Amino acid sequence: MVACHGHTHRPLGTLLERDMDAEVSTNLEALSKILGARPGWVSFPYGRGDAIPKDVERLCEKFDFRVALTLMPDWNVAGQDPLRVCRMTENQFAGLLGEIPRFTDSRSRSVA
Amino acid sequence: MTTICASPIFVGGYFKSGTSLLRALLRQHPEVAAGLETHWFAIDPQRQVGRHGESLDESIARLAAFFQLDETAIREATVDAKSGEMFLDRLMQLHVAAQNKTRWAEKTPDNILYVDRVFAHWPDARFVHILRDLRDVYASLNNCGKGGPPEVFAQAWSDWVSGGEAMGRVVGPDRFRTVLYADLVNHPALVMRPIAEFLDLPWSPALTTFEGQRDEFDLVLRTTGKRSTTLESLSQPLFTDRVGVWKRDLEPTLLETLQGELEKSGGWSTYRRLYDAWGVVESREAV
Repeated sequence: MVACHGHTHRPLGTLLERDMDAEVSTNLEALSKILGARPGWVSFPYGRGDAIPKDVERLCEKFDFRVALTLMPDWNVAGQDPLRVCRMTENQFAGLLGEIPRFTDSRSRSVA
Repeated sequence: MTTICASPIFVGGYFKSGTSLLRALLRQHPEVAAGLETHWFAIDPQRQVGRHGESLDESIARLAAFFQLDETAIREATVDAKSGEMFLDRLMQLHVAAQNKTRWAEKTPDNILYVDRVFAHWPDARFVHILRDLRDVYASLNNCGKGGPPEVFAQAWSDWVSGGEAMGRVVGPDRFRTVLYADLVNHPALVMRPIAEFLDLPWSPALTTFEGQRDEFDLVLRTTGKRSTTLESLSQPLFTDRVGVWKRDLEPTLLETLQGELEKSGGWSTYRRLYDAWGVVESREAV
């Protein structure tokens, strides 16, 4: 899976709307030329706090992104907002082992 | 009189960067006493000089009210203090005892200018620097009439933060950490868990749950007649709407000027470097 990641690795949420959109569109253009197809996912650089745009929905609608990845280290539960998908590194996963849901937990969970 | 706590906690950062919020969270920990700002670095007991423009007597009266301690007890405890550091030690002994806690934390934004003095006197101290998007800092200062010319702000921010961080690199990451305000308000648990470890504090959920504290706003109003905008905002629960206020509050022309001055002063590149280095998530390793 190749996803849009902005063009110069800037925290998108800290940019003005016009600059944010330019970061995304420039990157999409470049990736489309290389891939011959337009990525439908976005992965936010830095992926946390103020780096995640407050208006995620607007951005995703404008650029037709179906999935947006953050770097928030947490489980993804059934019904997870696809525009705020969590991820974790191996280290973070190990740290959360004690919090793995029991089999009695009715919700299905996965690591993105 | 000996130092009751060899490992005190200091919080510093530029004005309007979230230092008060961090202190308020620490204050909720069952082991940490963290009263109002002391401006200890300006106090010179030998010359009877108190905090900025005050005599030592005036400062003691103010601190007695702020810390709800007996004025005479402070005078007696600090009578042989030869420096601001010794004065603070004595004051905090009283504070810790009165609060029935075991550690103390001092937060005055200017602490970031005195990292060298902190570690010269308290080699086992822990220092937490809080960093906020400097455009938000300027917007917040502007909103309370303290923004000043962008070039002055840009230079001052750069001097404070670059100097503090340089000293922080000297003392090392075991004793000096930086946290980002945006991370703290958006993900308090992700920030405060490692900070508790760094401070050698047992974990307490009180470090991440903030329902607002009104008592200090009322205390300062009663004591000084001043309505502290910072303490007033602390009377509300933890909120994230102060992140990115520059987009709403700074006029485009002012923003452009500010951005130019921040580039010139080196403040912007300092901020970007620290943003990369101190993020709560391991962003550098991640794609």
